[in-house]
Amino acid sequence: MRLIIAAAAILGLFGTEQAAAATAGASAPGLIADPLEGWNRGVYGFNNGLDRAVVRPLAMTYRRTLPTPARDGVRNVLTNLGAPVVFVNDVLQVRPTPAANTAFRFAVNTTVGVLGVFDVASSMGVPKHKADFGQTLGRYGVGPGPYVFLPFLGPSSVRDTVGFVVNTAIDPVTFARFDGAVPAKVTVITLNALDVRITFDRDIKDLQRTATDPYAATRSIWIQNREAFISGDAPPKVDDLSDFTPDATPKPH
Amino acid sequence: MIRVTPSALALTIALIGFAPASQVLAQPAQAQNLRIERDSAAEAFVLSEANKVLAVLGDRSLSIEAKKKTFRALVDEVADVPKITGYVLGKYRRSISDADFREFSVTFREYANSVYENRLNDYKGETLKVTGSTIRKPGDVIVTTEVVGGKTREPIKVVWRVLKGDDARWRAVDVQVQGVWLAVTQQQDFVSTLDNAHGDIHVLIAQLKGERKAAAPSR
Repeated sequence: MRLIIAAAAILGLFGTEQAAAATAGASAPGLIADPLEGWNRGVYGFNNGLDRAVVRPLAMTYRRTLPTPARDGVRNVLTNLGAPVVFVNDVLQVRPTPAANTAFRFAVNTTVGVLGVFDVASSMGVPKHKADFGQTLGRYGVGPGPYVFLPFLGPSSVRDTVGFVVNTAIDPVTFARFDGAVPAKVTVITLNALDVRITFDRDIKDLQRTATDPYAATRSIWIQNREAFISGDAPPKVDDLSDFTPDATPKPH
Repeated sequence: MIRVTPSALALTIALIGFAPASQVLAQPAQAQNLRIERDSAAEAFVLSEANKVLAVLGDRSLSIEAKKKTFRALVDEVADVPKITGYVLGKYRRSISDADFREFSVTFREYANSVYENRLNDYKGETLKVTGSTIRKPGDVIVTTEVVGGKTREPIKVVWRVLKGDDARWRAVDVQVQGVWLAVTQQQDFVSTLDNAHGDIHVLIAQLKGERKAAAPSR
């Protein structure tokens, strides 16, 4: 089943976190317009090459070098660092309970959890969740716009690219100033990318092996998965489903 | 690094297009599709058949060969394979000859088997419970379920689309996991391949045969 979200994360080195954030939920199957398909396929190929030559080998070295508990600790720290962005978007989406949970998690994990190394809040029954500005826009009715495949970042839409820019702009990590800030930020971004790459390694291999057009399959999966994330726990949108006939190819949004 | 300029922002807004105000005010927008009808027969079908499949997959006493054999038999019982086979070809279904469709059907079946059989040992005692259903139209029902237990840490939401056939039996035609419909995705993958091959079904068939061989050694 993890294959399903693998393609959402496929070959997006930094955007993978957003893609992987997508959680279970029903959504309309769909296509969005892909007017830049030629360009997007080129970028897809570029990211693929970069993945084969650099990212995957680095990720596998990281996996071999660091034992699982240590990698879990790193992941917890990275998740904790992302909490302010999640909190802001919880607030913007007027979701008080998730916002309170995020604030609680950040306070507890930063202190009792030793700067986020240990996810104490989860063991207290307050699990993590994701929220981002692309999702916020989507929840306020902003459509995805055309599909874009971004260099280094992977699959996205115009809406979610705007969301990525805003998330980056409001992230305290972005504007933190201290000695050694640049190497620290590069480390955070790199570790994030490697961790996600490891998580989805098997699924990415499966997708690349089984899809007849991995670009098209990735696009389809990412779009559906992303819309499900935005819809949250909404009931299935049955009205968006076509009759189950060969001619009933879903229409682009 | 992405830079945002006023013109880029204006273009972005133009490309995205904002939904009508009424839709925004109707948040959560998803509520607009809420239906209350349920179909107990479709729910019973999914509960029974899906748990049957999970029981086979999670049976540690079965050899992988025995699992494959049982799984293949169950697929025909649970899924409407002929309907799915036609669906995944999308707009190209009507333009190919009967002989080509028969050849594609055999290849697609083998391809699907090899893809899913790679994961047969991934299950350890998961069970499924039905959480609801929505009637899209009579004989076309969306059943929502959760898979719990086994290796799952949190319940996994799985949605089934089941159709009632002419023989009055229910069969699944699509499954949605984490928001992604499998048959829809397969259709978009295959149709894109056919678009790029000028509709030549033999290109797709050859590719599926090639991928089946590649998939065989598993990890």
